[in-house]
Amino acid sequence: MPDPALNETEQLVLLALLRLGDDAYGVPIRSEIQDRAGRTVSLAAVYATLDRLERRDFVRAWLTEPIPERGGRARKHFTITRAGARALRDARDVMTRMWRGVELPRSLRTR
Amino acid sequence: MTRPIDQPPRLAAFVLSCVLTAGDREYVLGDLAEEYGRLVAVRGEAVARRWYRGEVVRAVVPALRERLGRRRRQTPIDVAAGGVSIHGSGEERMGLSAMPGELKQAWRGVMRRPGSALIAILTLGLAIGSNAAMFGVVDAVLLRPLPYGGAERIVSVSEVHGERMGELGWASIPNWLDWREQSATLEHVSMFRGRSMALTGDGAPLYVYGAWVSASFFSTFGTTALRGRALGEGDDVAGADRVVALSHGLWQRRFGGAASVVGRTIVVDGQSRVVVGVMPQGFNAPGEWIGADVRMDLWVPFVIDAAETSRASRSYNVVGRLKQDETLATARAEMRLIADRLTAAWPQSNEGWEVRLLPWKELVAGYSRRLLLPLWGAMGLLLLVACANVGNLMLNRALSRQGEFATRAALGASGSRLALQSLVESIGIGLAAAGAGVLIAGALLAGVRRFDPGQLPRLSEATVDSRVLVVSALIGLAVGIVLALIPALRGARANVHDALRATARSGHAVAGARRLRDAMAVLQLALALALLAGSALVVRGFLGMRAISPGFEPQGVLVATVALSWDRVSDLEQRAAFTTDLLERLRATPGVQSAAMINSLPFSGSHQQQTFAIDGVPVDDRSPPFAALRGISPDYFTTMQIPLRGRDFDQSDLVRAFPAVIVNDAFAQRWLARQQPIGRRLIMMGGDVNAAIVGVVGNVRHYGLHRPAVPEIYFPYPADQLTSKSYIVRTDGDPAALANAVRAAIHDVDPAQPLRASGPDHAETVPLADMIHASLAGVRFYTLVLVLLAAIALALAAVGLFAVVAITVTEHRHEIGVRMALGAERRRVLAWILARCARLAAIAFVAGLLLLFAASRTLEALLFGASTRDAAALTFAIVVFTLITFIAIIAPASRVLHLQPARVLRQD
Repeated sequence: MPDPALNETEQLVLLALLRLGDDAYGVPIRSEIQDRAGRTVSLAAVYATLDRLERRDFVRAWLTEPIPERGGRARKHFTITRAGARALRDARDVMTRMWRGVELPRSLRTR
Repeated sequence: MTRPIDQPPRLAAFVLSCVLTAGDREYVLGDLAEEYGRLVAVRGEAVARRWYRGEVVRAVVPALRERLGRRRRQTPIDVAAGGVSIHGSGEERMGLSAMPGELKQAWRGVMRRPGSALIAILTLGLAIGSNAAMFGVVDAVLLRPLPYGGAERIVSVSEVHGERMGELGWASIPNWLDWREQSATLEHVSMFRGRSMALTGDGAPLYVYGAWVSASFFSTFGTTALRGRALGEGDDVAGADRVVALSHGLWQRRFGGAASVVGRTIVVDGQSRVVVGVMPQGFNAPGEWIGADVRMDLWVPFVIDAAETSRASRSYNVVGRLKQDETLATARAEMRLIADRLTAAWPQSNEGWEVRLLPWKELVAGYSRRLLLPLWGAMGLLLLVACANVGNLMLNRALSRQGEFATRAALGASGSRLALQSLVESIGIGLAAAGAGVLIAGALLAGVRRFDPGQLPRLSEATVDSRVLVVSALIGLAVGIVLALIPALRGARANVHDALRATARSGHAVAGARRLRDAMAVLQLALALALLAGSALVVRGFLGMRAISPGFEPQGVLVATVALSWDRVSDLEQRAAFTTDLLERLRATPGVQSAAMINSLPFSGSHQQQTFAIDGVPVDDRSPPFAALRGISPDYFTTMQIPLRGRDFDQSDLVRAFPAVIVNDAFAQRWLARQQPIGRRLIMMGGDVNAAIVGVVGNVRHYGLHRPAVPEIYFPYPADQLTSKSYIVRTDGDPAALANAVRAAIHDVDPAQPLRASGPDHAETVPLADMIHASLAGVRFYTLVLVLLAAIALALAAVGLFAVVAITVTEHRHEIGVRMALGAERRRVLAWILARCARLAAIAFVAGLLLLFAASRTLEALLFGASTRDAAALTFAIVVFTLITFIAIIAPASRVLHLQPARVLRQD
């Protein structure tokens, strides 16, 4: 059975989807991750992640009409599903539980 | 907010659109174009273009994987029906629907794992390419017919007497004339003798190589002239007009390929001759027999000299042509009869001499065959290693696809259909490898032509032609079929239940497959060891040969060779004066420590032989003693630093004719065993010469480092009849620095003397050390090739072994996990694996050594005298083999040390 847990990139993508709402497609998702999380990801990585999430029914996709400004090409938009939201919440809860009561020892602190 | 889209880089966009599926293409390209536009506005076009291209690069591999993944997710009905897709998705766009079903399946099968297919193609391509290149060489040197009409009917006719004449075939004029008259099986019997000549008159004097030939020479070789006519009847009669025939090469080089050359008068060896014809390009008789890099320049009719009618003076070569319906056997029988007849009539000169007929082709190619065939054998071994290596690769592919095969079998695909698919896949890989091999062969042959050491005739003609292509394709096909047999044996008999269950455990191999895999790993190792040991022996032989002393000190010596024209300096005294004059000038040249002359320089291939009698020792006329004859100046031995006992020639020896001679150690050992040579007298030239031995010198390896020294007689140069003379100077510094001075000195004595272009650079003066170095060029090249083969084979075998051990560890993961969970120490488990692998290595070791010893006879030809049991070489090979094998086993096996038993058991 495939691992239900989300890896970090998947979490970032889903969070970006939540932030962007209906405007979520490849380019703004990537920008959101870059601007907010400070992570450089390629569009290819974003698509690959969205593909995986779609296969696991964590996101749903639909195509728009052809857009002239894009040379007549359509856009593929994504939105998070209920299962995806659940998985995202689980991931957050896991981390919260692990962090509870934990203090970084002085020797390991960077600031 | 949205703006018109700037144009992204077209090539990158095109590449991406090719690899994306139709469903993804539109929005991905659209998104990229949108972001590109934004970047152009914000950061400039250069940055945007760079970003775009980077994105395409990062997207290509996942896109391809996605494409294959979609194919993998086809429904079973698609798969079992032979791949005709009911849903008609991406395959149609690739144009695969046009191909027949099996090819489509085969293509899919290969693309499922493009990485391993590529490795297989490259590995096999390398092995096939080297074999194809080897075939190209063998074809050019051995197989291709000589460029003569009816070449298979040309035979050399020579007299041999025990071990005396070695491989060279010689004959005397009177015997030749009798053979010509009496033979009914030979259509033509002609005589030739190669010699250096001087071409003067038109332009700078040129040192050329030509041959005296009898009238029927060109008819014997079935060749007519390209322009004008060849030499023929009437040209070799006394009093006939002096004529000459030119080679194509000389015609181009010296006369610019002018049509007007026929009828022109040129001066050869001081005699005016009229050019009657130019021979076709590629006609080089008898050059290819004389030496691999000999290029004939011209042919001159041989007028029989009354002085040479001695039947015992065997200084000429004879070649004959069989009549149309005669065979070699009948000709040989007939010549035997004729020889017997002549012996009866002339017992003194002919007793004990056999007449031998050899096909001309055999003479030319025999030596090459002994060198080339073992080398080809070695390449064949490499091909076997590559096949075993790739075979294991294919076996693993097949095993990991057992699930797929079982599913298809369960859904109705027949066993033979699956086998057919495997066959098509393997043949496809084999042919693709053959294609890669042809490219590799082309590069290898170009390299061979460039570095041609000049010791194999016609090597410069080796090229990738239609025959090489055909051979490559055949090898590729054969390899493909062999490889197909391996997985086909497994795939066709898939037990559905076992396979489906086994798939869950990711392809655990059936015992039979495991044995096969081990056997192929052992095969690779054994062959690699044999190649490694063989090449180590050859290297040892080469190093040993390099270390052999030539008998003189070559460092610091410069050589220049002239051909004193026969008629130009016809008087013996005049020729001696040339040498005296030149030596004086050379000795006076600044930088020259000493100067001397010899008429047949070591390592130049020249050869002159003489029979003699020792005063006081009765001579057996049937096998008289003989020795090589060398004309020298005083100081020759000091210049060459050859040790001398007794005394050297001095000025007084130069004015008397043949007063004194010096012999070498080999002579003393051979003909004067245990006697003091100095003071003995030698009688030569039928009694005309009676000379005292005044000195004994050390042996010189005249014919090459690997050929032993022969008995030699040195005599003072005024009596020297050879036209070719080599002048040597010794200097403290770099001998090449004296080149101009030496050339100038020769020019001062006689401006019309041409110098011989020799040595690796075909320069007019050559450092002697370079000549010796060049004589090893062939062996060096050869050794290098073998070492390369061995290294590749060993690398392949090591990688193959590594893979087998790694897979074994993976397969036994569960078992190991169980053992460790039950308390076995990691180290003991590792030892258990190592023991298993060591057993394989040991079998390979024994098999490899057996193979080596089985091939030792063939190997001998390549060792130039070294032993096939050289301890140092064998030890080296064994050590390297053990080390590499050990690393190849321990690296993957030590993964065991990091196994987590609990995890392993849980996973399964």
